[in-house]
Amino acid sequence: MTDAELVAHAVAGDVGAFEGLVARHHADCLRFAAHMLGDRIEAEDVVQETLLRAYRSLGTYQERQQFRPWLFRILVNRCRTAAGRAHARRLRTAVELTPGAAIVRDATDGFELRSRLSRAMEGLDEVHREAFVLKLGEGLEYEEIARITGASVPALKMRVKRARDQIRARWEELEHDERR
Amino acid sequence: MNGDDRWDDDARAAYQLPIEGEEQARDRAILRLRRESAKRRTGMGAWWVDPDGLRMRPALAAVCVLAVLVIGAWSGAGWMASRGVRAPRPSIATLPSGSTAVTFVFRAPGATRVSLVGDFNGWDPEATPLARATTGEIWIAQVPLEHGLHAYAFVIDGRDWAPDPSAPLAPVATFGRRNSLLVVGEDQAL
Repeated sequence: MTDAELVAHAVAGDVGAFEGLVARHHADCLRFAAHMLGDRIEAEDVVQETLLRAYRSLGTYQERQQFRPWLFRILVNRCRTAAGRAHARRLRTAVELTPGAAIVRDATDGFELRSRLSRAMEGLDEVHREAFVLKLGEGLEYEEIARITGASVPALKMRVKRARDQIRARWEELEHDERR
Repeated sequence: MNGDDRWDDDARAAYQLPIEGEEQARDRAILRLRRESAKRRTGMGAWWVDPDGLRMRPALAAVCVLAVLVIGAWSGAGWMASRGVRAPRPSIATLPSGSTAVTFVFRAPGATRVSLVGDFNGWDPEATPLARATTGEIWIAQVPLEHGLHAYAFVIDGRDWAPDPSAPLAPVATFGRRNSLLVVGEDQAL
């Protein structure tokens, strides 16, 4: 069943259909939020809020829209709000989060790669991080990202390039350090 | 493939590694969604608007479930009596408020905890724990339920969901799980 069909059933009152959409998109949402916020627990809260908001807003969903970009638009807004809260908390407590520790360790070699990416993204501001993650991580087209974030395509291309250059430089430094 | 493409692939692979505990997080999201949905249904007061994709005429469901409850309670009581377990009697008792006290009995060898989830408690595995009977394998809970059709399941050790083997299943699986059905009505008697 396609997303559009599941949405149609959910709009008709079938919560099971919406659960099917959750099953299909939850992992992507959690991954995005974890990389945006650098905090696994906060990411889970944000994803729950996003899904509830989407469920309550199904009446405003237009059939011509695709579900995933629509859901990600809500998710991006929730992440921005949560990032603002987290920033305020950090200012109040003067305690720096450690993004490397926030994305939980796998018992596989993947930990090294993920840890490196997480550390390489440290210090990247929200708009650049958002553009980079949506483009390179989620593989969305620039037009889709523009609809999700509200930014123009040229601005997004610039953000992705800057983010990529910065992350890659830091990544290669970390890789070099790991080999020593 | 040039160096830029290779780096993009490595970064993408790092990004796309699954987040630990994603499945549990997804289950928690679905529970919260079900609570939200249950609140909405309660607001509408329409218990037959199925919470979990149920597609059965309420009257037919009532007959089926009542029959299974009678047989299940009778045989379950016999089974428990043969093992020295005090059977919950009566299994269903009408309360003055119009709701009915229903006794749920579930056999789960090796379980350390069992709980009951259903539309009546927002599918919350922490809300309704069952008590272990003296034999250790039988778990019991008595729950007041409003009259109407209810979907429910048991959760073993907070992880594994299982339908009630003594009750009919909802004809449509929800998120890969089949729940059991129960009708509670004023005219029921055992």
